[in-house]
Amino acid sequence: MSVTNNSESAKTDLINILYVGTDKDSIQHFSEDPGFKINVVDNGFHAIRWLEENDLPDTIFSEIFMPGMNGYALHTEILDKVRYQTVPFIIHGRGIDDNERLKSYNLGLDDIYQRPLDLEKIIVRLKFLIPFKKSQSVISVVESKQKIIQIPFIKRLFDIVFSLGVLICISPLLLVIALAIRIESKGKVFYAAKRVGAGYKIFPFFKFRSMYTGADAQL
Amino acid sequence: MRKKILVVDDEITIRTLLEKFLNQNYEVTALADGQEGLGWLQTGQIPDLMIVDLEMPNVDGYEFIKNVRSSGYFQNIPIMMLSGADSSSERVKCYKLGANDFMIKPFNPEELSLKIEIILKCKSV
Repeated sequence: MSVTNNSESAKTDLINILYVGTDKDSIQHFSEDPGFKINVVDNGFHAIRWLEENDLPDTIFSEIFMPGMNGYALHTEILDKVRYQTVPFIIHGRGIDDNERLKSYNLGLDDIYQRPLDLEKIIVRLKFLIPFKKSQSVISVVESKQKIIQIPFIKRLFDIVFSLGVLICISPLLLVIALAIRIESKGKVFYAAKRVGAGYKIFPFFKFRSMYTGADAQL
Repeated sequence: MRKKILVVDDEITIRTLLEKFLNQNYEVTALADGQEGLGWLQTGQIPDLMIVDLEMPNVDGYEFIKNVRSSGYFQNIPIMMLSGADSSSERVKCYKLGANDFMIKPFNPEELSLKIEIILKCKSV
C-alpha cells in the first residue's frame, strides 16, 4: 500500500515541461530523467498553439535558434499574455558566450543553459524559479492595477480647446453629412465604436455611420 | 563606474556595517536572506561580487551558492562567505559548492575590503 502511495506522490512532483525545439539529445535527456514530464513541440508557432490548448506547464524550455521564430521572439510573444508570465522561461543553445547571456538576462528571460544540458543544475534552479515566478506575477498584476494613468493638464486643455475650435469651424460640413446620412438610410447618424484609451479604459468613439444599423451584430 | 556588491546577511548590524563601510568604493545592496537575494538577482541586477552569510532563515548560504552556481547567469559571480563558526569542514563544503573566499565573524573590515579588491582585480583581468 505504502509503495503505491509513494509512487503516486512522486508523480505529482514531476516537473511538467514544454520543450520547444528539435535537438534530439536534449529531448532524450529530459525524457529519460525521472524528475520531468516532457511535452515536445518543434517550433514557436506550435508552442503558442500548445499553450492555448493545454494546462500551463511548470516551465517552458526553448532552443534559441529555430527557423521562423527564435527563442527570444517566442518569449516576447508569450510575455504579452499575463497568464503565461507565471511560467519560468528558459532558453538553451550551443556556443553561448557572455554577450548572449547578458542579452537574454536583460530581455528578462529566467535562465540560459549551454548544451549538453546538466539537468541536475536545471532542477536546482527550477525549485527556486517555479514558486518565485508565481509569487512575482501576483505582485506585478496588483501593481499594474493600482497604477492610475494621469494625463498632464496642459495636454488635456489643448485637446479640448483645439478640438472644440476645429469642430466649430467644420460644423457646416458635419451638418451636411449628418443630413445626407439621415436621408439615405434609416437609423442614427452616429455610430459609437469602442476604443481603448489611457489606462486601458474603454470609451465610445463617435463616428458618422456608414453601414446599416446592426451591421456589426450581423458579423 | 562603481562596482556592484550584493550583501546577504540576516543580522542587521552586519548589513549596516558592510553597507556603510563598502559604500565608499562600491555600490552596495544589502538583503536579509537567501530568498530575497535570489529574487533580487532574478529581477534585473548582476553584481560584480556577493558577500553571503552562511546561517540564514529561508534559503541559507549553502543553498544560495548552490542555486547561483546552477544558473547560466550567475555561475561566474565571485562569492565571499561569512560565518560565525571557525569550522574547516564548513569552509570545505562552501568551496566545494563554488565559493571563492571565506571570512570568519567578527572580522577586520580592512581585511575584508582588501580581499574584495583582490577578487575583483582577478576577475577583471
